[in-house]
Amino acid sequence: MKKINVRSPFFLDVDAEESIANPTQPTQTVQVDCGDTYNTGIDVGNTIYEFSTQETGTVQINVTGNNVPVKFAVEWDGVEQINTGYIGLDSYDGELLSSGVQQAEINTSNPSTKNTTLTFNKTTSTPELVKVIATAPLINDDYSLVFNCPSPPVVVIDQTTQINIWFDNSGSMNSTLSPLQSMVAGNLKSCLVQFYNNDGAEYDKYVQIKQFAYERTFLVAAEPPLVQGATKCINIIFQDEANGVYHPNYFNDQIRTGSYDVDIVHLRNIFANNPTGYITPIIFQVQSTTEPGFKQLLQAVEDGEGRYSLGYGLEDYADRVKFYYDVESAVSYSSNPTYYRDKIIQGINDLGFSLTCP
Amino acid sequence: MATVSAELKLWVYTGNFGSRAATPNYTITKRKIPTESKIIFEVGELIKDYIEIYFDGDYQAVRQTAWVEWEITKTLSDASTETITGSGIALNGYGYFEDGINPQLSNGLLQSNTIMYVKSGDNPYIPIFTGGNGVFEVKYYTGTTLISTQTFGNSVTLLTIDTTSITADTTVYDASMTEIRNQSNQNTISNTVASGSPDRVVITDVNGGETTVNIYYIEECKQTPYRVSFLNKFGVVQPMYFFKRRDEYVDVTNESYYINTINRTATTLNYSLNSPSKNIFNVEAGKRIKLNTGFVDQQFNEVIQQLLMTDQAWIEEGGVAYPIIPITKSLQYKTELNDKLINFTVEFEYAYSEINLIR
Repeated sequence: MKKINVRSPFFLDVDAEESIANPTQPTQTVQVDCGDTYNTGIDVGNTIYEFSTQETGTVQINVTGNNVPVKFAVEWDGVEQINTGYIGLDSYDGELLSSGVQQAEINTSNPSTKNTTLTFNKTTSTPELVKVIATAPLINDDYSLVFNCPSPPVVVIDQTTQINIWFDNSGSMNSTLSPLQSMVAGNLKSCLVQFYNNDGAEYDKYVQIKQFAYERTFLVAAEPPLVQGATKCINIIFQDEANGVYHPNYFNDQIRTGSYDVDIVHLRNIFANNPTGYITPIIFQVQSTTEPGFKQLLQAVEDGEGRYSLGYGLEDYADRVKFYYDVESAVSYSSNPTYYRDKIIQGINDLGFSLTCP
Repeated sequence: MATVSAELKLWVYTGNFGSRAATPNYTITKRKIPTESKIIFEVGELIKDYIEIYFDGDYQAVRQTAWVEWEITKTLSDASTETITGSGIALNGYGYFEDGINPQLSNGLLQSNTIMYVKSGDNPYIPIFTGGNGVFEVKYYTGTTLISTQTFGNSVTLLTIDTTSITADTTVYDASMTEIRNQSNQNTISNTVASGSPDRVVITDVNGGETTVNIYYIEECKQTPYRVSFLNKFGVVQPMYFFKRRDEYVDVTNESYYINTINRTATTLNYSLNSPSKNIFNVEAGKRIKLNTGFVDQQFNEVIQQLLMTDQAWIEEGGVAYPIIPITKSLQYKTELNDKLINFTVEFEYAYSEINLIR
């Protein structure tokens, strides 16, 4: 809608104005995101709504609105997937025809048909761009669009899944190593070996405890599948502190270290450039009375607090990484053999898997 | 094909969009001057004649816009004709030189300040534009707590923020949205009621851009605050408060003449000591006031500038909005760096004679 501020001159340029015979108005492009609701009020002309999704599956756009007819078309991969024709109240048919719309394109009715759902199957992850083209040759009253993308796939464990259980062996939680080793060789194996064709050797090949002393949580979280034949990797990390590497003695969410920046950007790049499930970190913060800063760091990363947001946190990847806090250290395998195993299984299940261990 | 002449039909009207009269308000024909490349029509002043500004202190009844439709029939060099149409909403606003030709100004907040000082207990009014590409959502916060959200249809509207009512607001929202979404220029300038006493209002446009307006409720214990409403740069009535000292003046003018009061009879020759020999006539009186804002943010330089450049303003006294005219002609911009605490003093005269001369 033009605004005419009459205390200043307002010029009508005869040659710049649109012809009445041509209902096409300047097209505006609007960027939206999956899950967004876009409300349009009085408007006329063409609007292209663009959003991107890596996921495959059903893309759904919910259309609600009043009476004035609008045509909605959905385009993906260069092909028009849906075209509603002009939907709305049939009393506007005459105006549509006058503005050059063909009768065959008019799908109006009484009551208005401008309440519908546009659905198509996005069969491949690329191209990611989906366009919804709204054509409104008449002055529109209003409509709303809700852009629903396919849900990301749940984490799947199969015989090409490498599972790394990372143990911080910098010294402060050494007593936890032994119970973890016992678990991996014991009841975790009994639970997960089914996914490796019940082949114990295959399980041992893909599921391993790895030790690291450099305390760079998000570097090991980004470890890719390295075992021959593995196509995806779950990195389960047990760690109680990262003092000096990721934060000073006391955590401050306005301060980031250089190592942290490098590691988090690397991990985010892997997330951005690979499908869900390629890398799945599950981070367990092991209790520590002397190092409260590590827990605060992880919470800041998870929630996007302070300077741990806007590309330097993981709040926008909540479906691809999980954090667990205050895990007890040195829980004896002999006295409580399921403690660490259940934590790991819970983490996997929270990512969408449904796994029950005996 | 070159255009050789064009006839403009221009409608300016209020009410529902499309309810224009059969006869246009203006019909203008122009021929292209051989030395010029195109035909243009300048219609700002023509439209201005038909915009009625009405404000009585009630922001729900303010009238400040009009619909504009035009139809231009071009005659081309081969004698064929082509008709083009267009429409818009007219406001009594203006652009600065820097804003360029055909200024569209803001499509969201229709005031230049994002900080508002409001008398404690009063409702703040925030003018926003909800036409195409305008505002569709307003969120109200108290501190960090979101207390309500409103979604708008179209056109220009004024928000009323109710500082007391909390519970019955949902119904009001629904009614307001219905009202706004019809296409009447008058009805779309309406008041909607928000909840609580929000101190922060986040206005979101259809592109996701956000503008935050911070509201400070001022409890003035010594002076009497006055609300001045004026047509701002965007052509909408904007309120601002003057919290501090008020000085009042009355200016009287008259004309005079002398008469001869002598009494002359056969026996006496005198004049009365009680009769004036100098008489006055055409007595006129006008009142002036000088108001102070109190300490405000330096972004009020722009607000005061717009107040001085307004062509309509009102002051509310005793529940009545009286028309006033800013007579301060100069403004020295103030900065927090140079002036520390910023107060503006503005002088107004009442836009009527103190003696009722209306016949």
